[in-house]
Amino acid sequence: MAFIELSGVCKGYGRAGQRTAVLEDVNLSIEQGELVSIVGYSGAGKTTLVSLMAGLSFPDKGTVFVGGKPVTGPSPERGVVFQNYSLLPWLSVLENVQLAVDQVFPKLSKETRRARAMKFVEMVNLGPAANKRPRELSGGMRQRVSVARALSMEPELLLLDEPFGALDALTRGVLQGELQRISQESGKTMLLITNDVDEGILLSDRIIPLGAGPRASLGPATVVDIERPRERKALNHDPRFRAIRLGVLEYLLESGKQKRAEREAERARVEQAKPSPSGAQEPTQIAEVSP
Amino acid sequence: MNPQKFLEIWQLSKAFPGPTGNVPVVEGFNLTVAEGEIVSLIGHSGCGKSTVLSIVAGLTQPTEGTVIMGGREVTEPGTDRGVVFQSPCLFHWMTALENVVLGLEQAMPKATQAQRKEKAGYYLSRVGLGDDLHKRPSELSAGMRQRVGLARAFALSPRMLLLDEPFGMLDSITRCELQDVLLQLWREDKKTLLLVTHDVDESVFLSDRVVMMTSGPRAHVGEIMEVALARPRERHSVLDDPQFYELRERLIGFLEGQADHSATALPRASTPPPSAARPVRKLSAA
Repeated sequence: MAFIELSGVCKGYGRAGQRTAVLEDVNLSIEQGELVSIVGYSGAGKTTLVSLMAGLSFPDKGTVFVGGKPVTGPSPERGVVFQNYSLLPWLSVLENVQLAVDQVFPKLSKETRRARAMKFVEMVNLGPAANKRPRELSGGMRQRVSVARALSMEPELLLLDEPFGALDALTRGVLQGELQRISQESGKTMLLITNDVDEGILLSDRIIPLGAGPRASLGPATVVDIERPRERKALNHDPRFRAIRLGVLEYLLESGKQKRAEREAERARVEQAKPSPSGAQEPTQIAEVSP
Repeated sequence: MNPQKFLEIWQLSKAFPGPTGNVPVVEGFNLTVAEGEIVSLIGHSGCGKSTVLSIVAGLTQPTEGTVIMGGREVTEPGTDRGVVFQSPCLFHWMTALENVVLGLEQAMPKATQAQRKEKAGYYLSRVGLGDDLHKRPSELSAGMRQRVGLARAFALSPRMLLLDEPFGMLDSITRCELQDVLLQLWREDKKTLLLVTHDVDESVFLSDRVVMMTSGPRAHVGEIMEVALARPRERHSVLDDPQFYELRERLIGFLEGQADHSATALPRASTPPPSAARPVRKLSAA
């Protein structure tokens, strides 16, 4: 069994009768030490997928195994980095990180815990800002704190849910570089959720598209067979990069098109079933008139 | 009027009051756009791209210089220029159709309500919302709302459309879809489009020319790049074209150069980000 193993996972939200199926028949296996990215539309169910692996929610059907054990709740073995950082505003950078260390390693001495927190603050290049509070930091720096906090728990698995989505392109490039370094140095298993195909290719060993929702499922995985460290500008010239990029993007756009067509067909069926189609005729009439 | 000089921006400067006197955000900006051309302005955040667009829209007055569109000087907003913002500013209590019709009441004052509805419905179906005419914004996704924004802008039949990071709020895949929608609308009536973006791929995919702005203050036109990719542009063939990647790289190179330049010329006042020059600490293998 692979380190992470999802099989036949379905998940929906809402009460019976109005339930929306978000994920349908998701199958995924990730080996230890692998960095896999999942790319998809916003709203497709990427965060739902992370929640299932983090143990923050549970599948309606199917199973989620991490490290050979079923996921029954959140655990420090699985660190999560969210898009919105989730830092405590009244604690400094170091204290935010140390809070996690204190929770996970209560038996260590206070000095050891502090040193450990500091080590991870420095790993994300925030040493000089260790005593600053979140509001004194830029978005990129806050996200670094969040990464340091997740790593400080020494998780077996790091789940990154659109970690750089809220950052401008320049800062994003810098943090992608740092994540690449950290992932290589630590060899941790990581799952990166993103809507940026380039980011997915730049960072991961395998990239998997998540089709458009509702009832989203994973598309074919592509192995990113490009040596590291990878550099954005060099990738641009790489025919392997171009081929993967085109393949993933087209899969996603095609799945979006298909889901829209399904929705339209569904609506047409519902409207035909109505006894008096008042108002329902309007769109079709209008579509034929030219301006 | 010379169609090659549909829009002329001449020696445009704009200064905003700052703590130590006026800050010249844009200075000496010159650009000529032909009728039916798609031109994008690209540059780092805060460089003054939106300021230029807003002056062309007539929403902001320049400190110096002039903007001439279709042979007339621009001094105020008008129905001859449509503007599309990052989020489409829809009235939440009105349906998609009613939102577009409302705009048409201004642009087509003499038409009957039925004619306006017809036109609004036509454009909404062009952007793929033919089945969603009677939905309110809250029932639409962000991508669909921006489709309404585009339908409204084109339905108003302006001579020129100004788009200020129109897809900036959308995920990168939805962004691709909307770029296709925009090109499809453009193909029908060849409006002149001036687009502000910071997405390199977007600017190459859409434009005839990409105008690269230097980083502010005193931002101006750094370089202009012609995009000779054949039209109609289809994503698969564009992404397969080596030329696309050359153009892309030239833009990235320019932007990276500007980032280095602004980092040395303009150190951030309060908290500098921890310098990337710090020696990287090795993590003991865990």
